Amino acid sequence: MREEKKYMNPYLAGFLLGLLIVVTIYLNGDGLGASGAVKNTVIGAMEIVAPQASQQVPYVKKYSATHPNPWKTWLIWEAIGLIIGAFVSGLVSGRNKFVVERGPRISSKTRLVAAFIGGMLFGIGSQFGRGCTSGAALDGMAVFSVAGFLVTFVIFGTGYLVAPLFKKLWL
Amino acid sequence: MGPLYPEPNLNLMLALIIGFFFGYLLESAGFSSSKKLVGVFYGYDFTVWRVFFTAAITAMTGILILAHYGLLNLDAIYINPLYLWSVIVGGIIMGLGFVIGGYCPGTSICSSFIGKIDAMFVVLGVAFGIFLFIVGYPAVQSLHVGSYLGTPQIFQELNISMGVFTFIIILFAFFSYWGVAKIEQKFYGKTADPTPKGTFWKITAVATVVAIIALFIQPKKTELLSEFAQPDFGKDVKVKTITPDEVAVRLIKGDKTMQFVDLRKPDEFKKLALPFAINAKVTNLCGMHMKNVLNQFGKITIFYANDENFEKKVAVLAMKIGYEPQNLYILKGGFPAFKKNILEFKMPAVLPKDAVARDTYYFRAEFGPKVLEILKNSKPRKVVIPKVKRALGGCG
Repeated sequence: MREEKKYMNPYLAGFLLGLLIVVTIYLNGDGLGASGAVKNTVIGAMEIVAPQASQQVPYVKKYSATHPNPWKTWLIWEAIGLIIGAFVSGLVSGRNKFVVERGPRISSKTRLVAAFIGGMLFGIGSQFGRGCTSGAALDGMAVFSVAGFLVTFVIFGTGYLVAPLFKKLWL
Repeated sequence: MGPLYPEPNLNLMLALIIGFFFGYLLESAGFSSSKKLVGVFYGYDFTVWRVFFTAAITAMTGILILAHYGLLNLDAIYINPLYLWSVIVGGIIMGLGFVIGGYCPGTSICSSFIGKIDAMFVVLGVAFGIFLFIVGYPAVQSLHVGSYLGTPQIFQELNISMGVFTFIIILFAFFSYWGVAKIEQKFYGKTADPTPKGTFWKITAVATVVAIIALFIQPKKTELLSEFAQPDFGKDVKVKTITPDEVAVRLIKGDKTMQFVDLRKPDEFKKLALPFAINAKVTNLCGMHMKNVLNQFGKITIFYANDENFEKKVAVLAMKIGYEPQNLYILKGGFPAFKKNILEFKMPAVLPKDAVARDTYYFRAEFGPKVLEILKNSKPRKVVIPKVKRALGGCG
């Protein structure tokens, strides 16, 4: 097993990530995103699994009117790129391995249940927030939007408020 | 001028490439570890804060610089809409999810593909949460689309310029980097920041210089509009004028090479305007769509308003934005002169002695009513304010 490489310097990583956002906005008028790609996938999957029933869902109906093909969207392709990019980065730095990362005081099972619940909350929240930490918070700040600053403040503010309650999960 | 809006298939390819760098950077920065991510909430590792904030200030500065050089049209980019309560509720749920799950959606996808099994469960959870939202949408729709406050930008709300805000936020970011390192140091004995002290101060110095530069720059449009507001704007610039009589002759001849830009108020425009004129506000001129409308081969553009001086200022502004000056004219005396001398022309009791002037009067008397008819027949006058369309977007 190769030794894990160190992480990139945070300021350098942030600077490059910021440049990437600028390039994306210059090309497309819109920044990066993640939760939107998951939404497109969910809707695409619903249409495959239950083509008729899914068209009865008002939200899907509304969505389909503007997105005829959820798979052929910018966010989905970006997410495919993201997967490859993450995998390559993990590969070159020797970090690709199957592992359940958890706090020292909980079992893997607890960690996985918490992961699912946390993800579920993030999924729901991202719909109300019209994007997650990427599309709403980071892009939102990049374009100086009040919504972006507000959602960043609320996400992190809530995080700090509730963190002591979930200390056992992590420390 | 950006955004460039690449052709759809090319755009998907670009999405793939951009995504690649996005994933690579997230993973390299350490966002593929939930322990590193939640460190920001427990104070032992503020890497998330450092990367996230640096990305935000870099992007803000970049957008400001692009706009300053007129390379990016800020009216065309997606600005996250503010649905006040929806954003607050969403933010609270996301904050809770972040601490419990340890990942946000982007980082969970990223980490799943380097083998983090807990991250895979987060991805599944995100998908399930979105599924619940989709099927339960009717119950939460009023919250989701309620309390809409438009797309406000923070510097406008604070009543400062974009540059000043950028300056403040850059300084704030670097002050916070110094502060979070102190927190890490105090509670856990060491900082998670691998940057050598000397390098950190160098970065801070560079950022301070950038912040000071940002203080003095504005988007090109903002700069031009504030110059435009000066009373002597464009004083020394020559602008070609066209007389009402010439316009009248050309209209009678059926000349199709004139395009008119009406700078008056929409209600005046709707009442009576030159044939097929575009009613435009000064602020709309700065968009690139207008440029495409106006710079047309073989056509001349005539600006008219109620006041020739105003026409001239707008024409100078248009030249600065990039409209071709050889094709740009202003109507002599403005629309009131056109109205008085052509449309409502009254033959004076005593005719001038000069032959040309006398012929002009005869022409006006004969053709004035016909021109009026042409104007009236050019209805319906659509108030096509070539408003720039914002990019469709968002990531809900």
